[in-house]
Amino acid sequence: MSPRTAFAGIGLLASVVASNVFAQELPGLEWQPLSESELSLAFGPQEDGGFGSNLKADLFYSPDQARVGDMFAGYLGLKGDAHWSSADEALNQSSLSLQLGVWTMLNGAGFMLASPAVELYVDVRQRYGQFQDGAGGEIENVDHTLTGLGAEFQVPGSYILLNWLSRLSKERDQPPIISVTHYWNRDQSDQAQDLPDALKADELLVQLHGQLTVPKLKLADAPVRLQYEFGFTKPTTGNDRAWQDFTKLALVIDAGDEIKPALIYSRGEQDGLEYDKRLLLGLLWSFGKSEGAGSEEAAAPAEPVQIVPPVESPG
Amino acid sequence: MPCNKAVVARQIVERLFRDPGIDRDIRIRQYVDTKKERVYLTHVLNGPLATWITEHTECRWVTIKQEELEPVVTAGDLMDLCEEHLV
Repeated sequence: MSPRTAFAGIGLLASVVASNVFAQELPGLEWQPLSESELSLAFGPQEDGGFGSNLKADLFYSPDQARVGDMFAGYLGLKGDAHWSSADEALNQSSLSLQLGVWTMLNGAGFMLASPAVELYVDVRQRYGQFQDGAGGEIENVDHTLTGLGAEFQVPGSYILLNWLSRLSKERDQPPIISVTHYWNRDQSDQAQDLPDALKADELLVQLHGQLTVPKLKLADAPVRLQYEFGFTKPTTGNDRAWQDFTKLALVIDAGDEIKPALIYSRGEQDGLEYDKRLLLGLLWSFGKSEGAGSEEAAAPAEPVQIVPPVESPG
Repeated sequence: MPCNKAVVARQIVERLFRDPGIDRDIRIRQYVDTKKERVYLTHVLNGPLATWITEHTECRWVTIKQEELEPVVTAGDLMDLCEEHLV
């Protein structure tokens, strides 16, 4: 493992702890973790016979003060991803990303829960990693910054599929999400390197991700969720502008706890870097979600405060 | 004509999820388990759905707070909560 990969992994863990302390110890700010916040640690065998591990964090916080009415809300995202493998000449990579954005709702245009939100964001990503310069080429270190501008929205019309699946699984899942981000690449390696075109180029990243509850399957009386992430990258400058694709699938046993066991499969290329094909056992830590009291323990209704619209008094 | 709260409450949930005939026992926890989702759902209920209720039913909507959505687990829970907010 390169020192920088290790540094990024430690930094990732520290950032998780720090962000939670930050969110809890500064009550005046009332930062709230958003639903996408998740930390995962996974390890297991790879296709090449090595042993691989992956530490990944997606932390999103939204302060109440950043809301303008109920229509716009700002958020701060911290994302990290560190891969390590024991295999000879393994390609170990890590990245840290800071995301600033706003999300808004589209219900005024006739949308209901099927397509509630659109997010717009700026993403600054610092990436360290090792790559192989062509087949059988020398492994070199990469250190560069990506600056991105993107949008994220829920797939229109997906409620039709979700309605059908919910009748089988008795669970209504959230709609799948598409994000489209354009990154501008800035290489800041210590020494000038002959990087491949795909790595030097600006790029367009299209991602589709979401979660489905597997119908009629329970393990230890807990539903099994399929989390999916498909990424497609296309360089927008340089000579090689071929699409690259990346797939990550996770089967998660969701007993309702914050920490969930998972079986994770990943493969493919993303951002010009090739990831080893691997099948990992992992733990996912989702936070920011409340448990809910359940049907039998539903809380008493709060005191009504306003009738919409106001009812006119007789006479 | 009096406000048929149970019928209108079901119509509200069916419109929210665009799912006519949605079963009461379907879990919708993913839509209310974080503050972001509760803020959004509250906004929809107090906004366009309140307007729809006024224009298309005999009922009126009493504003809901996002905290009231925290215990909701199933579509039936949400129907019951909506029924309590209809007058």
